[in-house]
Amino acid sequence: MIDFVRVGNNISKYRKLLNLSQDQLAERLYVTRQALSKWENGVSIPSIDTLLALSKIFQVSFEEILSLNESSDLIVDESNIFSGHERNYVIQKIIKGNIEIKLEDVFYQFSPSERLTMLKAIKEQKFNCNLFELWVKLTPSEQKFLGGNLYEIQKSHY
Amino acid sequence: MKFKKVIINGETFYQELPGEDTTIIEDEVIDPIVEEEPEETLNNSVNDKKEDKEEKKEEPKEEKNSRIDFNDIMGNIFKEVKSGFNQMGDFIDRSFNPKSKTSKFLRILPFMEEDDIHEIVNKIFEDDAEFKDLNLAEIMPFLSNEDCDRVFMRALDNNVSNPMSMIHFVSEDCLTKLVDKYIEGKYPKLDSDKLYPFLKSEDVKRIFYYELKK
Repeated sequence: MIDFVRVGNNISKYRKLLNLSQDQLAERLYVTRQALSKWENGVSIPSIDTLLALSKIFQVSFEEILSLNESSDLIVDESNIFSGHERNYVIQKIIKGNIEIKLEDVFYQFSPSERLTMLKAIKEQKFNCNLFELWVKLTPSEQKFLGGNLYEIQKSHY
Repeated sequence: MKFKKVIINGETFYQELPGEDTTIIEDEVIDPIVEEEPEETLNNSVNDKKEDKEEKKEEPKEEKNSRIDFNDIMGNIFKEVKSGFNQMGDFIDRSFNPKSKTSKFLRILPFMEEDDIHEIVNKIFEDDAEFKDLNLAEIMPFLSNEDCDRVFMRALDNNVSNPMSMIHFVSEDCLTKLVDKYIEGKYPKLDSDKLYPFLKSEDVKRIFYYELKK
């Protein structure tokens, strides 16, 4: 999965290396300055054609702009784990174990659907955490979703 | 003065039109109407004028034809607006109405067993009318990996339910197979720009090199 924020930082970095303003770069790409601003802020990501055009302008490969070859491990600030990265990207990295966090301490930062995504990963044993500590922070329906009985779940997991 | 009979939410109003003769045009049902004027203006319009058939007959043909053309055009416009509002209403009803089918399912899904949820997915695949209006993207968090992949691929094959809204729940293996098929030319209408942000690095490279060759 692509980290929008990282891609945006790369676009901004390479643009400044060429001493181009956002207006100048947007004009070369036949896009609006607002679109370019969204990319640089990690709100959205350019199309494939535009990325290929960017790689020509910046004289770098699209892999470098998209950070495809960089290490997938991330270090996040526990007080705001999504800061600086796209939310879905962070969630996927947590599930894959590329981010070291204590889920029970940061669970409050997830939206309801993101919480369900994490709980689903726990249920499918793709992700481990301290269930005892997490359990008290779940809503009744989330507890039921996990299986209802904490001790039974612990047994099946360990 | 000329008046146009307008029906809004079942109530009849007469709207003034510029003109010399007092005429009431019959059978001009435009329902509903998106009017810029406030309701009070319409309410204050004269709505108890008597129908004057003689004056209607005396109107010159040119004026009558132009009135009919204008009303036909406005009628068509209002039909389109009504259709648009109905579609918006359906969307809002499905998304936010606590009584909508999707909302009801979302409330009970956390309490359902996996086998039961799997059974629902099978019924969806059999085009069961009971689950026709279900928003599949919203129930994805509750499905098993296999069912998520199945539902996503089905949405893609049938071009329904906005498959890209489900892509967060699809496994990497499924997306890799999708990329394989895309490169073989199976999904020519697939928007690769919306797909590639969710692929793993190797698949992103494959898509890019494929697009470069194109």
